[in-house]
Parts: sequence; structure tokens; C-alpha cells
Amino acid sequence: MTKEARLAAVFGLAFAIIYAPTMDLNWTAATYHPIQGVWDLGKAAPKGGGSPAMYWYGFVVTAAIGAAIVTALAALVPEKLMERVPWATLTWVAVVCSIAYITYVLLPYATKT
Amino acid sequence: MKFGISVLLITHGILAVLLLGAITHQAIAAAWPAAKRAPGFFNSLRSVNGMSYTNAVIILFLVTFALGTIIYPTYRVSVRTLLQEYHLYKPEGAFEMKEHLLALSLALLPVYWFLWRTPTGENRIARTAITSIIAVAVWWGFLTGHVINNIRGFGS
Repeated sequence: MTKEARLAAVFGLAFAIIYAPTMDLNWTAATYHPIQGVWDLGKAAPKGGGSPAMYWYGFVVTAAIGAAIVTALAALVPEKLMERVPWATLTWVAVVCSIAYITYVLLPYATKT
Repeated sequence: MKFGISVLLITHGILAVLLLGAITHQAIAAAWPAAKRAPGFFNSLRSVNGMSYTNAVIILFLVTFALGTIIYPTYRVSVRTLLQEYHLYKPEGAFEMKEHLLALSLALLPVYWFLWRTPTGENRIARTAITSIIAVAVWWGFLTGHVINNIRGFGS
């Protein structure tokens, strides 16, 4: 694996690890109010007028910023250390775990009537 | 506005079909490769060159995803409220899952590209797993979007 490929794997891994608690605990970077067409930084309550507060865009931004920081830090780690870790394998395992976490969080949708 | 959103929704759906075909071929070829070319539908499916789908999958994914993010507010305002009103929690939850699966898949695209650029025996399991995760996410997204569209009714 090249250094770039390893860093790409680190990005995917970090994104998956950060994303699941972000959506669960609502660590959104921004909120969009579709009726008003207005953005707020961070988590904001609905502005009324039947407009929901949309957090998902912010979840993606939070996880992407976090993953970018982790990837930048990983780029500083000596190559000899980085080479020892099976990054691609860890990435898909982390994504599967993240999906399991998200499924658990969303389980009430499947059970409530 | 409504006409524009309908055009975007149809384009989003058409691109999703193309993406579905590409990623499904690639995932099958990666997970169940044919040892040698042989006649028959399944053998042809298994013996496609997975590498040749990579860039198409990435471009289709990005464009479909971008269109999805543009029409998403309309879903939240006009469709999700109706699902809640009629207590259709399962489709609502399926759409929530779609959002998260596709966000996770988006972040996998860089490593997916690198793994397919130099496919080796060493990275075969990771390449197959990551391609399969993206394929499952795309299938989930497509089917959920289709069902939600059926529930709400196009243009209603």
C-alpha cells in the first residue's frame, strides 16, 4: 500500500468512527432550516413556521473535519510504523461496526407503531 | 420550483440506476470472480474487469449524492412530515438509514479508488468488503428512495 492509499484508509476509518456518535449525540457542525433557507452554525432548534431543523449536512461536515484532522496527524507518523497496520482491513471493519451502531440507534423506527 | 425538483428527482433516480448496475457488476466480480471466461450470464457477470468500473462508480456516486443533497430539504418538508402524520415509521427509519449509509460510503471512496487502482491478492478481501459495503448502501438507498416515492406519489 502506498502512503496515499494508507491515508485514504485512515480517512475512511476515522470518518466511520466519528460519524456514528455524531449522529447519535447530534454533534452537528451546522443546522439548515429549509423553509427559511437559513444556515446556523452548530446545533440549532427549529425556527418555526413548519420548518424542521436539518442536522444531517452538519453530521457529514463534523465527521469529515474530524477525519481530515486524524488523517493529517497520521501523515506525520513515521512510515515504518504505519506500514505495520492493516489499514484497509481496519477501515471496512470500522464501517461495519459503525453501521451496527447506527442500526441500533435507529431501531425504534422498526419497533414503534 | 416544483418542476425543477421533479426534474432533479428523476435525474437522481436515473443516475442511481446506472450506479446500481456498475457497482453491482464490480461487487460480484470482486466477491465471486470467475477463474476463466466461460459462456453464460453468470460467468459473464463474474468475469467483468472490476477495475474498469471504478471511475464511473465514483463519478456516478458523487453526482447522484450531490443531487440527493439538493432535493433532500424537499423530502424533509413535504415527505417526511407526511410519513410521520401517517405513522409510517419504518419507511422513515429506512430513509434515515439511507442517509447514514451513503455518508459512510462517501468517505470510503478515496480508499476504494486506491484499492481498485492496484488490485492485488493481498488487498482482495478489503477491496471486496469495501466494494460490497458501497454496493449494499447504493441498493438500500435506491430501494428506500423508490418506496418513499411510491408512498408520497410523484408530483402530488
